[in-house]
Amino acid sequence: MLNQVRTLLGAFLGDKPNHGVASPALRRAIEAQAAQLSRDDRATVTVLNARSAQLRRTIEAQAAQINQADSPPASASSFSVPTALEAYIRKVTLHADKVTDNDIEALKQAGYSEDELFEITISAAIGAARTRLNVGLAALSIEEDIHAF
Amino acid sequence: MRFKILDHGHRPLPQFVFNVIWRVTGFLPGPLAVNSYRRELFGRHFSACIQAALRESST
Repeated sequence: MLNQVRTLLGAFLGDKPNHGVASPALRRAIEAQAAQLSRDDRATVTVLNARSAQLRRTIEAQAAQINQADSPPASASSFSVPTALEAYIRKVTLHADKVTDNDIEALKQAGYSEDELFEITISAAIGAARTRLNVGLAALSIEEDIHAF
Repeated sequence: MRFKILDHGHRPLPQFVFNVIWRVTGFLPGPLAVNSYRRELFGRHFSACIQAALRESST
């Protein structure tokens, strides 16, 4: 059952065509374009929305790293998290209860929409949760080994 | 709610239901708003996780 939960959590950042805000074909085209853009290139809303899919994976990987467990997925290596988001991701990952309206306001001032911030927040939370689940499952398997011994 | 979209950004039918909840109870439960906003992105998967965790065998 836990593995099923892990699979379902993974579906959030998977390649399902209905993820994100644009149509599947448009998303694929825009993602290819967005992959070539630098992290600070924020020319159009369309590009921003497409970038979110890749950004989600990267944030999830970063949250996992902050939790000191899994190494980031290979798909995340080509895209890095913008500096403006790093502190926020760290806060969501480790001290979610300390997030304030000021944090959200600062990111809005930096140009992120609420929709993007929603995705970013969910991504960081999923990354942290997934890592903790994996650590828990690993601990259970160690415990089983001890009992078997 | 820190994100205004979670208060006012839902599709018409959920928004109507939430407005009713708001008027009856005086507040909108955060988990409900988060799980209902753009369900294809997060809420649907998370609800499936909860369903699996609560309803299936733990072994």
